[in-house]
Amino acid sequence: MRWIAVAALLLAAQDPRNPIDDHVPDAPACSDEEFLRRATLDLAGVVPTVEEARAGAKDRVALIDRLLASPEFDAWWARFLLELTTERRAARYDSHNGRALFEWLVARMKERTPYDRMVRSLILAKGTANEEGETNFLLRYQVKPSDITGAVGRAFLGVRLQCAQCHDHPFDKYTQDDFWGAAAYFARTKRTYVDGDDGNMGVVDIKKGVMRMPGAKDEEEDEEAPVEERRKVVPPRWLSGKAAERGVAMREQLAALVTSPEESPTFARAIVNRVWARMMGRGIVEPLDGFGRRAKPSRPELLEALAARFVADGYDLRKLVRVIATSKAYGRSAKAAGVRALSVDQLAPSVVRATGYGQDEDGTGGEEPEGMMEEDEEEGDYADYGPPEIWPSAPRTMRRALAQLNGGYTHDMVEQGARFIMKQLGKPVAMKHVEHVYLALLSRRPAAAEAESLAAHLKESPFGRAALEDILWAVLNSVEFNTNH
Amino acid sequence: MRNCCRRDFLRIGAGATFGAAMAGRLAPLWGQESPAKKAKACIVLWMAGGPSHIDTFDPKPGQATGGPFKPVETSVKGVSIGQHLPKVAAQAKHLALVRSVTSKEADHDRGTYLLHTGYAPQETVVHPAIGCVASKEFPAAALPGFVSIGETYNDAGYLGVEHVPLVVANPDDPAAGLVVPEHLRKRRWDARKKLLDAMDTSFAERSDKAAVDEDVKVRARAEALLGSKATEAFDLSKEEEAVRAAYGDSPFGRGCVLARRLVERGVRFVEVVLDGWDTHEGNFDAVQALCGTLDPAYARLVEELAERRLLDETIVLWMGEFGRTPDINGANGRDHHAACFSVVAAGGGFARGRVVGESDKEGREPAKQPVTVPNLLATVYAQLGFDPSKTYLSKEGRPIKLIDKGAPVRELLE
Repeated sequence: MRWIAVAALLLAAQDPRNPIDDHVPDAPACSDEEFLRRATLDLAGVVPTVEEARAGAKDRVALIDRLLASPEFDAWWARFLLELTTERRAARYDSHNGRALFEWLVARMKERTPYDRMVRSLILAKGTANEEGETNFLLRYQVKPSDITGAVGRAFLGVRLQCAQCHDHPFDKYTQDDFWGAAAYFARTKRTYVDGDDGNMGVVDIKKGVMRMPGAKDEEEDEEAPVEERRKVVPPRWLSGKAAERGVAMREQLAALVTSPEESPTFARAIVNRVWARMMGRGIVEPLDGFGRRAKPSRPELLEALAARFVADGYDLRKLVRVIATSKAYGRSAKAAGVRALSVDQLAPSVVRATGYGQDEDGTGGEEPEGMMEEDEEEGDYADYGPPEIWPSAPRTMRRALAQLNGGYTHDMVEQGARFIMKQLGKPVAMKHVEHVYLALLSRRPAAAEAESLAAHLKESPFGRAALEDILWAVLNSVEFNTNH
Repeated sequence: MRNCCRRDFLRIGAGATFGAAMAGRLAPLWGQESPAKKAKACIVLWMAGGPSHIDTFDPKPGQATGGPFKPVETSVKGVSIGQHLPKVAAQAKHLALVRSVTSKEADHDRGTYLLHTGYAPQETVVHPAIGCVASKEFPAAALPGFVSIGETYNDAGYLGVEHVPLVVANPDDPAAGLVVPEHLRKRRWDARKKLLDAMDTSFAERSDKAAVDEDVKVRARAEALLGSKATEAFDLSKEEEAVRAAYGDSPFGRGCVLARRLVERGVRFVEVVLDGWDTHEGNFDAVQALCGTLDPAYARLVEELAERRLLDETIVLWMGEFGRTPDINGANGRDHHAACFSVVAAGGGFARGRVVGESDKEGREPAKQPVTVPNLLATVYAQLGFDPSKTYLSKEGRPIKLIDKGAPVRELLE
């Protein structure tokens, strides 16, 4: 029996006990088909293909590892980071090039750059928007020290510093002096316009410059405004109270401070909480930027354990996602897990793949679904699904419901989808076509009771295609398709 | 219903700004049980980008900041407005012109949020837009409570997603998507809905029933609208050509016709968006062109509502997120200016033919009776019959007032 013990030891070394399982009570597990759809949506941002659904996923850990290694994982989690760093201004704007930032993030995900290093690069970025994608984080905030400081607090530290911009808040720990002291690290960082390259902008550092506390009437710092005597100079000082060092570039110091467990204790917890919320539907701390003095984590020990594990794992987002995805809590039943609305970025590629919508006749090529990357959200093909909403639990609005029930886009998609499926499976329409729709969109076969009424519907329709269209329409509108569960 | 509104109104009347005089003035009105002075609906004409107050409703002839436009006399003696709004000028007898609105939010998003909610954006809570509050507070009907023609800030925040407006993206084809195609009607549509209902019912049993039911509720409202005759409200072809033409040949003009049709049919809140007022460059050409679109539509909307005896119970608000700088920049443009700008109200008990407040001689700061945005919106809420100090609970259970630090402004009303 010794070999069993050795194997167990080896397994344990390879896959140490999941820290989540110590902190979350057990719940009944979901079925394999539910798990396949849930994990594929969460890790790759799309529903499984018909083939994947048909094959099923008995080995959940193997499925997770396959998804973690896929290019879809890199792109989907780069979108998450894009949302985080641009506050949902993800496309190309006058102020910044969201697409260049997205491509930079995809490349970092692909080469498995640790999260803390990514954040340092975003804070230290120099160069031009179109060439150095990482500059677009600072450019998104117009390279304005106050706005960047707010964004650093919210995105990377999970705290709302903006309130402290104008006044000392009686309930939060940061004061106006704290805010402007942190903002002072950006006092020498400026936005530049690139000559002869229309719309391209850049980030540079200048040699001199100080941060002045804005006066009562002038809440925006404005380098062109005459400097008034009453506006006092604020020296750079981090939120932990640590004063800036001489002789080291300001942004170098800040990048180290933000990502230091000692100087910024919420840095790891904030991202762990966001990833948890994205995969589990709700943060351990809510709201996600509520790591202020009054934060009440629902499971403080779990948050600490996950954050410690994330730091020990070298700030590796893949490993963090893996820890969550392989926990018992993640694999719980749909009753316990609840439902989370899919974002337009999950819906669009899933629908296109299942129906061939917008693709060439043979189902290849054609327009790629753009989702939130669509430069003009209103005119994009997917705009009818409502504003791009990448965060979990964004519910269906009346507008989206109307568009899904009766939009021209829906009718076209349903007609084209039926043709597309009949091209693959032949005529006449039979239960295998219906099963295909279910596998393509719901990752399961119809249950026995469903199969009966679906078969009856096929019989009622003199033209098989119309019946298939009806079924496709119903599935596309169902809560089951529109949510992750 | 009446009693509850009356009680709310009197409570507002007892507030600081309103003062005892107003309460005294109101008593006989309600004593007569006259319902006439309470608004039942509101139309907001939203000037996205922030319209120049000086070039529209607050002309400054002879000042360096005045720009090239001449003022034009209105139907109210001694009151002039910008040269390119002659038709609106003729309707000035219906308007309350507020020339001293003041705010600190000179950023588009922040200003838009403030003018729609009465609050500066906060990190911890999302406040509902006025239209969402109307959707919540007025009883539900066949048509949605809030329709937005074009889009601006319309988050329902803590009121819940069911109060987000129905957005008409294209006023040139407002009924798009509201009429089920001929070949799907009746039998086939019913069959589809049966399939869908069966799916959702069985899914609810297998998952989070409460959440699924919530989602289905929104969809059921959409389904009901699709099946209802009420959608003919969106069919502009039902209007005579001459009636439509008077609003001008523009999407905004058609949006205003639609707004009137919707209000006539019981929609409580309609917002019509006219974008393009962010005139950092070439302000005067742009404002002239925009006024060409605005003038016939706005003027005819007010006039027609009055002709149809709907203006007494319909508030028409003209506003944007801020005004524009008195100083004219190097690109012949005007930049953002929130310290002083104009908002115009009509109907629903707002004063007729009155100028409220005054800006200084260059249009920089209020010179007389500054009106804050919370006060302005509190007045609108009160006229709609909602108590501006009503407290809601946020999703986290925090109490939030409809309007904080604001109360109705007596001078804006009849």
